[in-house]
Amino acid sequence: MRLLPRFFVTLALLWPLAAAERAQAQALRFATDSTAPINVAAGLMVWQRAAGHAQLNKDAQMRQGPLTLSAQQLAIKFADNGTAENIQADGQVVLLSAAGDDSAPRRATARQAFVDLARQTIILTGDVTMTDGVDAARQLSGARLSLDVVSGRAHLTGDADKPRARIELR
Amino acid sequence: MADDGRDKQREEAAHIEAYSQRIIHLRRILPIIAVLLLGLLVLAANPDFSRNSTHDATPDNEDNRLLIDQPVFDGRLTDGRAYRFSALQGAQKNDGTMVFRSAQLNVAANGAKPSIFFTANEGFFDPQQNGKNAVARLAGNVVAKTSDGHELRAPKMEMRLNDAVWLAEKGLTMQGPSGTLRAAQLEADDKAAIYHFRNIQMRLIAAGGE
Repeated sequence: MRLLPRFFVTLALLWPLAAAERAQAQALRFATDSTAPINVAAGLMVWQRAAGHAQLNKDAQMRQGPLTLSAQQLAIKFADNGTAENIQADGQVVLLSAAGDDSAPRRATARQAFVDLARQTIILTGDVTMTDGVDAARQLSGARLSLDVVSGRAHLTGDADKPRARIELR
Repeated sequence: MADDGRDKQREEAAHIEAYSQRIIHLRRILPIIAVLLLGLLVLAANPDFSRNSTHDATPDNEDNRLLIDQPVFDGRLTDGRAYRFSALQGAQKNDGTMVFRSAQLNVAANGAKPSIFFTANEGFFDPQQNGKNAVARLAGNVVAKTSDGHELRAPKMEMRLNDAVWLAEKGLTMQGPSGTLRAAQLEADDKAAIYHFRNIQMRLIAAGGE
């Protein structure tokens, strides 16, 4: 019988944490449109036809619907049939998404990003931080952010040094 | 005797006065003649001084020495690819360059490099010898189609044929398997298959999509 009050006390203590977890899971959603055309722009593009590769510099950015990915350098890899297979972004990567029906505007930064155009996923790696337009003071950080462009769901994880993603309230 | 002396003096005075008049006339006329001669000298040194540049020349211009129907010029790029520059009508100009109407440039395929077929309303060809680059310029609705499915359109293009360098400095659009590209400028090293596009906007076709 003495265990019952302890259980309720523990439940009461854990409840806010669980609520925060639910809130975080809901927050990790980006506005996306996987059917929108994929546009890239840059000041300079060097296309190496034989290697099936193009490197974009000077204000390089990729845009698909409400999503914009910018970086110091974008590298597009083309498949044998000439279609674009993936985009590797390096240096000062910024992923922005405008506010959607069920998501706030978001801004994620990282050192690198990899856009798999066939699987429609975007993976940010290297000191990933994420803020949203609703509460800019709250910053999520981790080692890896994966975004499913079809559903708009993002998943933030830590690495060996920081095994958990952190929520920083400032 | 005294009259004879006065007559002689008068005659000398008249002669001096006439001479002075001639000198005055010459002082007025000589600068004008000098200016005219200088002008002729400038025109003689530069025969094209008052003519249009070769870019705008057409086979019908007066300074064309030789008109040729359906001219064909064959050559080879330094990477071994054969090229053929041809046109509906051409004319050789006084400086040895040639202008064309309905120009075509065909660069043959070689190994992994696709063939390229350029067409344009007008063409200009400078077959510079002695190791210098042969230069072809195309203007007016320039279209370049490659055998690997790319189509490039530009208002003007220049080709340095020996080095296989293509330049489009007045903007271009390109369509291909990877998507549609707009650029302000292209410098293509076709020998190395490396293409520099400036200020680009491109709509990508994703693998497995569209």
